[in-house]
Amino acid sequence: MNTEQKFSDEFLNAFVDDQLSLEERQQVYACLAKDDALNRQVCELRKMHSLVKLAYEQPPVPPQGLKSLSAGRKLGLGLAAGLALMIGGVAGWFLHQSPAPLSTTVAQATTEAKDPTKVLFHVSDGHPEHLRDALDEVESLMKHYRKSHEKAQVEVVANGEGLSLLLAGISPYAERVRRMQKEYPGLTFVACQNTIDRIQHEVGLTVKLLPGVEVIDSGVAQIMRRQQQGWAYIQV
Amino acid sequence: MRKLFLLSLMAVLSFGLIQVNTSYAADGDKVIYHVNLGNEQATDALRNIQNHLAVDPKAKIVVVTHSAGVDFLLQGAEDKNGNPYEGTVEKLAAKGVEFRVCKITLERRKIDPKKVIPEAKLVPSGVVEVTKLQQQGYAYLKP
Repeated sequence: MNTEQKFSDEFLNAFVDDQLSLEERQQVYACLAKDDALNRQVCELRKMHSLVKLAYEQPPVPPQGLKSLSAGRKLGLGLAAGLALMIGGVAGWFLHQSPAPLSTTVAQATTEAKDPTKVLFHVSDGHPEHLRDALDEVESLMKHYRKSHEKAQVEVVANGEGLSLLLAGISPYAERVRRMQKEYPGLTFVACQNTIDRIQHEVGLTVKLLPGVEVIDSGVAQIMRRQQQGWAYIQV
Repeated sequence: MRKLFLLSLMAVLSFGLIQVNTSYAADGDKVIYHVNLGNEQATDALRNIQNHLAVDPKAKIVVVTHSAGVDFLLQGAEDKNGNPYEGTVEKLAAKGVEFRVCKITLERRKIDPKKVIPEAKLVPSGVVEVTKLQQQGYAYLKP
């Protein structure tokens, strides 16, 4: 199916901007389910909208980020809707992929000592206050384990907009992440490769992670794997 | 129109989440409702729990709160329409629902523990509580 013929760019922008009627939207959703190229195109548009939002909320912005702003028109209006759509988009995107490779080995999965407590924190909201609260929660849990001499393995998995926590030049808490990595040996910060790819390939931003941050194929797949492995899950 | 669509989209999304999560609850009958975002989330949680118990009256439900999530369990707390939370909490507590409040949050936010309504119990840490309950086989649900 040829996307260009089916929907014009303007139409797709209107779709991402939430300017279409219900009927028109249904039309697009129906095609999204069948058309990979269209799916990617819409993902790209959505990602751009959310990155623009990210750039606005979290200065300083890397220079490449500023370039992409010019394309982000109507953003004031579309921000909230864009965010909700992004969540939907990401969910849809994952649904659209072939099943996640559940058997992928993760560095730490195989090297577990005698039954430490294992907890996965999921961070997917990029708002600075939210990130701060998330770090507060992680830190008080680490302190609790240190105080009670309990062996614990804690993983903070960031995806979607939450990835901003781990991006060099963007994260408002780079220093704190570094300190926490040093202070709590059982704590790792993990970034989602899918989100990184989307930012790099679809928007042209070069992603630099904070030092010591691990990368996994997919945040969502990691959450599923960890729960299957008996990890506690908590969304903060 | 825009707002309406956004709302309906969010409704669909959150409905989707709840759908997925309750399917876990079906096996174990033990469920954590995690509330840390504030009163709006608490209102949703209380409604979800009422519906949950209507479908599965034997479900063991524990509401774990921390951060802004403790607010609805403080004396005199009201929802955005001015309805007090305590009545609903009392009713659910009478059905066996447990409400737990994070001590670290009270200390950090300088809230007097006496302000917590009697239906709720203090726990050392909300996050630790959430992880411990999962180790005991509780399903995790975030409204």
